[in-house]
This record gives sequence, C-alpha cells and structure tokens, in this order.
Amino acid sequence: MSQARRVSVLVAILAVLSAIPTSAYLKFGYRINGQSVVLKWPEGRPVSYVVGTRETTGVSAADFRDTIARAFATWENVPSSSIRFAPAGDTTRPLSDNDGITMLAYANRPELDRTLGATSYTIDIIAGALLEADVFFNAAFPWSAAPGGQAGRFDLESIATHEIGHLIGLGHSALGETEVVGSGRRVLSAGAVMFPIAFSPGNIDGRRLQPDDIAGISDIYPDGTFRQETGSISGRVTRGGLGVFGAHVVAMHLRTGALVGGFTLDDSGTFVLAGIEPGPVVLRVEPLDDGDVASFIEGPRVDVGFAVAFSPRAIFVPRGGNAPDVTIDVVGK
Amino acid sequence: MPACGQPGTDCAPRAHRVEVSVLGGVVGGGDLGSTDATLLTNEVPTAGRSSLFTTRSAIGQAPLVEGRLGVRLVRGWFVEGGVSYARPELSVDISADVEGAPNVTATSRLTQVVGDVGLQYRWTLGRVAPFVMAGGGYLRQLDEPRTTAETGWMGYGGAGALIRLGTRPGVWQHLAVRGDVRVLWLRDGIILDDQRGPTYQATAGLVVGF
Repeated sequence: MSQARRVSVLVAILAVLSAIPTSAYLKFGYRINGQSVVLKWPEGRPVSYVVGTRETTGVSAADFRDTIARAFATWENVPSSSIRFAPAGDTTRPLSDNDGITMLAYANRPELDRTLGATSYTIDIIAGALLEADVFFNAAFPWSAAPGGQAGRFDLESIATHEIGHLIGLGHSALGETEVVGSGRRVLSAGAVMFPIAFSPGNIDGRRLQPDDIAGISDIYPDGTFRQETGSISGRVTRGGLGVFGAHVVAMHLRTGALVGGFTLDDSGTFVLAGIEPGPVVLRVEPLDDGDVASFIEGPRVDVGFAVAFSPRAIFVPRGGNAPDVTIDVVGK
Repeated sequence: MPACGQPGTDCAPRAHRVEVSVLGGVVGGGDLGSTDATLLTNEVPTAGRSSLFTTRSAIGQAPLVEGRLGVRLVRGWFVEGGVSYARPELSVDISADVEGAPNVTATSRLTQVVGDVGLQYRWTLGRVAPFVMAGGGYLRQLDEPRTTAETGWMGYGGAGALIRLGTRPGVWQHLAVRGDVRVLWLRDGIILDDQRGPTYQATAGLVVGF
C-alpha cells in the first residue's frame, strides 16, 4: 500500500469528565469522491493486533495483555457480528501511527488530563478501509485489572472495551445522562459502552455490551442472518416543518426495553435506526444539549433548542425490513 | 296433537348439517404490561439502573366481524371454524421522562385476524338451542401500514344460543339468529409480558343452515 493512499486521523477519546455530548450509536464514515463510506476493516480475515508491554501501578504486562484479550472477546462474542480478532503478540516499541501495526498500549499523556484513552486510525483513502488502528491508555491515570474492579482506579477492561469499539469503527453513543461538574460533565447514567464519558473509578459495567453497542457492531459487520433477523426505522425529525439537524433519536423496544439510537445527520432531519429487534417500539427525540456538540458533530447547525419529545405513533419494526416515514415534530424549549 | 309434518303444525326443528354464520360484535382489549427504558447508573463497583422513561401498553376494545362455518358431526356435536377481523388500537402511555418531556400516548391502529377451529355442543329446546363451545386458533396482528405482523395463538371457551326463525318448510326454516360470549386467551402476538390475562368476545348475527 503506497503512502499516498494513507491518511491518519485522531478520533474517539474517552474522557473522565467531558463536554462531549450524548448521541446514539454512530458509524464512522469517510468521504471518498463525494461518497460517504463506512469505515470498517476488510472482510475475510481477522483484525490482527499487538499489545504493549508497558506496565502501570497494579497492572502488569501480563494483566494488560489478558485484559485486552477479554475486551476483544467481548466484541467478538456478539453472535450477530462476523468480526474476528487475532492477537499477534506483544512489543516494547512505542505506539506509532502509520506503521502497519494495530497496537494497544499505555502512553503517558499527563497533558490530557481528561482523556483516559483514544484511538487513531490509518485509512485507505481510496477504498475507505481501515488499515491500522492504535489505542493508547493514558498512564497518567490510576488503572486496575482486578476481576471485580478496584476502588479509585479505572477499570482497564471497561475502557478497553470502549476503545475497541472505536477500533472497529464505532463512534460515540449518546445514550446517557450527564450533569455539569465544574467546567466539565459527569455521567449519571449510560445505556451503551460507547457513551463518551467513563463511569467512575471502580465501576466495571463498561465490560458488558448494551443493545446499542450490539446493534452498532452488527450493523457494520453483520453475520449471515443479521439483516434478515432485525429491522430498521427511518423518518424525519422536524420543527415547524423544517428538518432538525443533530437530533438524537432513540428507539425503545416495548417487549425488551432495549434502547438503540441514532442521529439526524442532514438538514432535512432524516434518520435511520438499524439493527432493531422486530416488534413494537416507541421513539424518543432529544437535543444534544449535554455538552459541546461541536466536539461530536461537526458544524454549527446542530439544533439544541427543542424540547424532548416522543413519536405519537407506536411503530412496528418489521423483520428484515424498514418501518418508513416516521415523522416526529418537536417544539422549542 | 297433530303429527309433525302435517299442515299447521310446528315441529321440533332438526339441526342443520351445515351452518354458515355471519356475526358482528366486539372483542375486548387488555393491558399489555409496562416496560421501563433504563440506563446503567454510575455507581461503584457495579451499577444499578435508572429509568429514562416509563411505558404502559394496552390494546383497546374494538368492533369485530366474523364468519363461521359449522358442520354437525353427531347428535348435538358440531365442529366449527371461523375467521374474525377487528381493528383494535394499540396505545402506549409514556410518562415519567427523566428530562421532563410531557406525557404522551403513542398509538397504532392494528388489523387483527383470527382463524379458529373448535367444538360446539348444542341442546335443542324447541326453536332455541343453547350451546357451549371451545377451541383454539391462530392470531395475526398487523400494524397500521400492514407491513409488519405479529403472530400468536388463541384459545377460547364460551356459550351462546341459536334461535330458529321458523320451523315450517321454506326460507325461514333455514335461518336462525345466534349470539355468544367467549373468553379468549391470547398467547404471543403483541404481548409485552407473560402475565396477560384473558379477554372476551361477544358476537351476534345471522345463521343460514342447510
């Protein structure tokens, strides 16, 4: 692969306290020749990765390797997804973009005092495929690999599960609630591993994928039956008849309570929620008003000036099909 | 007393071998249960769950039309099958939103079709024939655009009466009116929890016998 076909981008930061707003599962995309291409690893072979040998207090190199393997297994074990991973050993070399090696390791970044970890990519800008991804975990924070978590220390497996979500192409989820703490935000509750703000030190719930995460990975890497066994909902969010850009739309399944979300990502307010379990759902729309929307969705057009609203229709998601033309009208706060 | 069949006499009517019924009535609704949208709470070491909002769902009572075909097996026993059609409303009350969204009732008009087969035992008391019935069938519920179906099963038991409109030879001998009330147990379909109780169906209409 020639260097000319590669570009590195830094994305996907998991923060301790963040101004990053909530949003639902989102696939990273890249524009190639005017076309939006979903970033994903090439099909047909497992994603190979190496781990760094750097240690931190309480986390040995072996602990780090085993914890990272468990986090990869969490994603690999999603039955409706086809992605597979292959550990390729460990290395003492530092993280480096554009070296052809997907690597996860500690890095000491004390200047990033709100960043627990981040994922960067190298992309084939011709085909849109992921070529390499590197994940760093900020060694400036206290970490734990203890099976039951450890008070005062961030759970490495939880944070690794989140970062591996980015590594496979998922963006941040907005399924969560936050409160303002000082100049940042603290998460009160979350409905996805891919929520951008971490739970408190000692919490280990980030090890378990939620329905929104499962829908996300399955949408990017569907197994043979995923498309047939799930359905989608499409429609618009409008305000005074005009489309709302940047609204967060969440579907709740009435039988299971599962939450899966998405965004309106164009000026017409169009949204598509995929990977929904068939059956009756209700839709909730909220503004991305839990933080700095510009750090999550580009551009100043995001409308955060409307009140939370629900669809007046109960919607039935068809198995293997789409429930179209759902319109949710919102009003100003 | 004149013999049956002589002019001017009424006879104890013989049950028809085949009966076709066209009925109308009402099918009851029911509570479908409640479901909360929940998020994991930020607690240590593991989280509980907090509610984002709450839902309670129900299917409303609705008018119904039904066609039934009965065949007499022996004496008072009939085997009977039917197809019913109704358009109940699914309503979902949404409340207690964590961000204070106004309470909303989301609705969807369903198309509900049930096909069933059952047995009926009938006592003939002159022109009146009370009966009991029981059976089961297949339930299909389609949503408003009729693109999505939920399927399930239905069992029923009930009682009613059939009244012959005439006993003399001629058209009226073939006609009767019928009414019945059934208790329905629905399984699967749009059922949101395991505790759904029975509902009811009441119908009345015209019967043509041959």
